[in-house]
Amino acid sequence: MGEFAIILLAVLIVVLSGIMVFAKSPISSAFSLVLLMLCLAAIYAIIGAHFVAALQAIVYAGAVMVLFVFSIMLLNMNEDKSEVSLTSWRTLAGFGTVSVLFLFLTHAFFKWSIEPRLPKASQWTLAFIKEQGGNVVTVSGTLFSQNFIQFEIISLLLLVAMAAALVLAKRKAD
Amino acid sequence: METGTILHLLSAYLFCMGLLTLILRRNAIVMLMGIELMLNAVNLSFVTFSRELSQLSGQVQVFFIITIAAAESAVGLSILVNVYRNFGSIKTDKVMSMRG
Repeated sequence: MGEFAIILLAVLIVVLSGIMVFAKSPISSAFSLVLLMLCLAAIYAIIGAHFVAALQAIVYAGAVMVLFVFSIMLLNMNEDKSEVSLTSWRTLAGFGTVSVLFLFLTHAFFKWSIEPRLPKASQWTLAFIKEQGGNVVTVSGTLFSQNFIQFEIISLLLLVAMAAALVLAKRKAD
Repeated sequence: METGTILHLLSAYLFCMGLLTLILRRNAIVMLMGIELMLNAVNLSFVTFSRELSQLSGQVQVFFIITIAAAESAVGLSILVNVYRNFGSIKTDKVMSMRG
């Protein structure tokens, strides 16, 4: 059941990413990216990463993509139609680069799945996580014990980014 | 095929599609979306490895990556708003005062 749903979602994601790359207007790219992120959140929920699934749905599909859609509407790009022509040298070079990269990545993943380099014996199996009280409890426990300093630094970085965005987007008084 | 293999392939594919967006498109907002897609592919890879190796640190790193991606898109989009005000367009072949 779970595997079937994952295959279905993967096919949907492949189609949506194709729409995102080749769509004529930026707004349809943005909406297909929203759907893609929701599908990714569903995959995370199926394979047991509930905390990451919630983050993906709230932060990515909620906040970040709303920011994208809002700035597309703010900039009002009516004349901006797509310019991907399938015969130019740039397109050929892009497809060549990307297919070589894809071959390298799949080679690396298959090699890893044949002979894993890291030890497989670790304590956080799915059954053990369920016994400890669920994925959210264990991940946030790790986050606030081992990675506490990184968490604080990240919150500082968010504050700085918020101030920077505010200063940059403010209209100059002239 | 195993679930892990499917997810690894999907993550490689998504990374390549993000890079393709960066190469092909000239619209700066769509290029930023390509960067977001590549970050999502890396997140998927982290979660899949975290599941296969039975470790939690991968999911904690995904938390950090999502935070940094949100900060990056906020700053990048406000820079793009400024570029649009100064040049009247955000297509990267029209904004080329540094290219000469």
